[in-house]
Amino acid sequence: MGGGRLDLLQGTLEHLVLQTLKRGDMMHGFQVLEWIRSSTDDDLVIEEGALYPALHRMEKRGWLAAEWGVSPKGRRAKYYRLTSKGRDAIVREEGKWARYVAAVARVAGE
Amino acid sequence: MPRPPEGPRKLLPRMQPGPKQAADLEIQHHLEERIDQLVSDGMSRDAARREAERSFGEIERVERELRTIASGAAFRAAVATALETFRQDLSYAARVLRRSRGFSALAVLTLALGIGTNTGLFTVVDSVLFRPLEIPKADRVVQIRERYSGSGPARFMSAPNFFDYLERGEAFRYLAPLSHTWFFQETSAGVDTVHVLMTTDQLLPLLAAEPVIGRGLTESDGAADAPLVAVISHAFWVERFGADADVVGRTLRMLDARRQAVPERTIVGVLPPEFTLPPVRDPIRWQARSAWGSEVPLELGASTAPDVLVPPPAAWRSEVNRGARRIHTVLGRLEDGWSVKQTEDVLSAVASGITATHLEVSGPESVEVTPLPRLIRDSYGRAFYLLWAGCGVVLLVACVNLASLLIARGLTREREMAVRASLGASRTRLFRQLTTEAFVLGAVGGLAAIPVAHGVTRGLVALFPGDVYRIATAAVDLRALGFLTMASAFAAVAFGVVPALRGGEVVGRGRLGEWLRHGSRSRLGVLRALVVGEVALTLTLVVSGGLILRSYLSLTNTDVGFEPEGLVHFWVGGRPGSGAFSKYEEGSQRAGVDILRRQLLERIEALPDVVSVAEGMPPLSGAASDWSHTLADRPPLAADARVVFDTRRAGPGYFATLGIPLREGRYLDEADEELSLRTWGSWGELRQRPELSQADVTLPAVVNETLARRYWPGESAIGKGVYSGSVEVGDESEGSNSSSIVWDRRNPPFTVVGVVGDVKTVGLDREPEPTFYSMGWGHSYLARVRGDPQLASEAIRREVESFDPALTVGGALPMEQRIADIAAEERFRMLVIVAAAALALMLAAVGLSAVVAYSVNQRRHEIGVRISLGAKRAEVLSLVGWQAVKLVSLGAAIGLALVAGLSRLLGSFLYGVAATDPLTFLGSLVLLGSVCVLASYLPARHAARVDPMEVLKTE
Repeated sequence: MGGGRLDLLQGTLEHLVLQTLKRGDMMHGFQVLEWIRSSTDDDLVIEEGALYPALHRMEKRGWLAAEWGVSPKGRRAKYYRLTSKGRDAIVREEGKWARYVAAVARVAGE
Repeated sequence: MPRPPEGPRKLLPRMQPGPKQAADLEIQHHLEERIDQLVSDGMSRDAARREAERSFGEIERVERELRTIASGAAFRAAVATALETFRQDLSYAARVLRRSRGFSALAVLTLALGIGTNTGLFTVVDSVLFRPLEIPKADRVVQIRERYSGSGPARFMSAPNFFDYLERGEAFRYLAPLSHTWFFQETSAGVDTVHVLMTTDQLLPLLAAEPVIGRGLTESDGAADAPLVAVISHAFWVERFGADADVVGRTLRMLDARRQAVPERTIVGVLPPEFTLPPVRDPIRWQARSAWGSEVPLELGASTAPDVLVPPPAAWRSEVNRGARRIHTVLGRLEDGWSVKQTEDVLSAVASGITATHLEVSGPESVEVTPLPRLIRDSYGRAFYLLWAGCGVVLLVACVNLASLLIARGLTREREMAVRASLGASRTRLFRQLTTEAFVLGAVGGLAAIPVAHGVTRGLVALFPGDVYRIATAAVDLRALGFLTMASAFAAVAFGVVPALRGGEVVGRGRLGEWLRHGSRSRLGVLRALVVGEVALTLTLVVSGGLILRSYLSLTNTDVGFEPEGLVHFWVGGRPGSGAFSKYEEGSQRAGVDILRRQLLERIEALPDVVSVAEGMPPLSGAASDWSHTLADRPPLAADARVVFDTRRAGPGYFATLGIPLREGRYLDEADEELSLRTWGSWGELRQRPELSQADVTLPAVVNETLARRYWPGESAIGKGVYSGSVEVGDESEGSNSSSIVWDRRNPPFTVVGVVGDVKTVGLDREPEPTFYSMGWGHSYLARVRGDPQLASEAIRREVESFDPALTVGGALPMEQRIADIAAEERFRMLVIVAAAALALMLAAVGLSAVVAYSVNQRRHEIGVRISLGAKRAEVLSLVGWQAVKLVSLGAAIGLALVAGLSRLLGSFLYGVAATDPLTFLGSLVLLGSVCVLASYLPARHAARVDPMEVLKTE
């Protein structure tokens, strides 16, 4: 994939967050962001501020659980963790994602 | 792949950020992490901060977004909390109500009865009165009635008059006469009646009904030479013709009242299954039973669902019938753009024309046009609204009663409330708690009311006397349940909120101790006010019940003018199909009358159970027949020359058998009968003789006192001449303006030979009408019997059947039974109101008892002290009793004022007793007073037994 960095498509952010927390770690927002950035080799532009509404929405939906804790640097931080409901959501979202990617690929025409 | 980050350490609870700072803190944390990262990459701290904020985006917008997300959650959380609180209140309320089972059961029972009866009445009233009529544009359908001078709308209309209105009927799209008669049919089960409606082609389009098979009546069906046709009802088609699709063209055979075959008719059409006549119930409801008087021993049961429609005979148009009112009801559908008033004006002009042209009959003065919806309201509204009002008052009394019970009970729960308040329950929380209890009671009461409503509806439908339009369709449905829900909510608010407000007032924490000692004075005040209200409401019901009871008694004990005890009415006819009756009607009918009246009546009179027997029409049979007459001694143009009498047949011995007293002159006897039958029998020939003078052929007649007094006041009626039917006005002396009545020889003239006492002929609550008795042919008999009227009737039947096996007896009905039937609606109304009053009285007693018990409880200390200081039991009793007396007196005073205000309304339901009848008021007061004394005596006696030592110890 060459030619500059990719803009984030709607709904994709949530997908990325879910993927990030899939392994069961507890992370605060900045950690989630950094993880996404590094695992995509900086190819995606994320408006950092948009991450938080996404996190809160998913928390409200019950996909994520959150609690306040103390970070290794000694700061108070809000930590997020995937719930079992969130895990179910990943399964659904992955199916949708696969179809989405396939559809885009077909339109782009090899 | 980056390595997974380190997890968090636990945060101490007190370090948890509050909901407002949390979003802010989270964003700050992000920025700090980013700054740290940038600084460690070698950026200056200031540049790093700027870069961090830039890459974060619009901080304020994000914050706003987070707040929006949070508030949605907050709303949901609030709802969840409220639901949880409600659930808690609910389970607490259920627990409390379960704990005091007696009270809860009483409350639920009272509510179920109160709400259930009201819903039941609503259900019936809804189906009878509230639901729109099935007829399209029913408000354009009207009833037309003539008014004669000095009286209300006339019962019936003469057919020639009707056709005059029809001719000038530009105000109407359709105008149709309705006249009911009864025929019979032989079926496998015996003889069944056939309800025949004589009407014209306009009735079906008027009601927007179309035949499902064949055609309706046409205008030509009414012509003199037209073949005889009939349109049958759907039910009749299914029942008697097996729903034969080829019924058109088949023959309808019927028998008349004497079981003689009437001319056959050809069926031309079948009505739709839903066809019914509009529920026109004449103000004189006995109209419906008038058929009985004309010897068809039937109640006009399903008067709205005729079996057969036939055109009226062509003779209806004949001028001979101008004076005979044969049409029972006239219905019209107004033409677009015509108002009721305009129509009345046009028809009244026609009426004046009739009066001016046809001097031989009593002419109508004006015409009244009544839209159908109003007619139904007038007919049935009264019957139900009074009952409904009675049940409504019972529900109110029940609510007041429950409120006072709740308060009285709440007072005993004050300790609980106070403790809860001192533990931090807020005022609103306590209020909510008490309201929840009330609503739980209301809801359970409402649920329990559903079967009650169902039962009441079924009971009303089954027991309501007479034929009430659409009452059979009444069933507890969604509308009724909606009403029930509203009534339950109303009841819960009515009895629950005031006590809850009072309960919410529970004293603050600091005053707990004081409050536990003294309770709340103001609550006692509310309680007293409730008792006063309850007594007032109850008294209105008791007085109304008393008045209606007295009205019923005076109605049934009213002087009917004859002696109903031991009087039996019956008629004699041929057995179905035997054809035997014709031998009694051969020739001029004299032979038959001779045989039946002389031989048969002699044999019946010889029966040991029979005192006497006579031919004639039974009294209280409804308006038998209104006929025009002319008074011979008046100038022909005099306003009162043309009169309408209720004209009845009376054979020899009729008055003596019925016990109708003679006022003047003489009764009719066998010689009169002989003369009458001979004259009528050969009248066709007699009237042709030119030399015939009036005196030769005049027939004897008897009139009642009302007639004699009204038309010959201050002089004797004996010897006065009366012409029956029509007469002509002629000029006797040439050149003079005076004209006189010319006897037209159409009927023999009558001479009054006797005046008898008034008899209630139409209804118990009707004033006697001018009644004219003469002889004629008929086979309706009245017998005065000894002992059980049923046994005597059986003996008469056996005698008739042994006299001629082809004959039989019909309609044997004791007159006392007849009177009971007529008063059935009044009796029903009386029973319901009296039951409502008794229920209210019971509730009031319970309420008063509870209040006195509470007030005694409050004054235990005082009473204890008094007793220890030597007060006697009687003094304590009177101390407590005096209070009850004051409350009841105040309530009674208000109640009396209420009844006085309602007296005009109530007066229209009363007969023979004034709405302000002092005896009833006094009796009601005494009854209410004694119940109240009893209700307060028991708790007061309890007070007198207070043990002073025990009371003082608890201080």
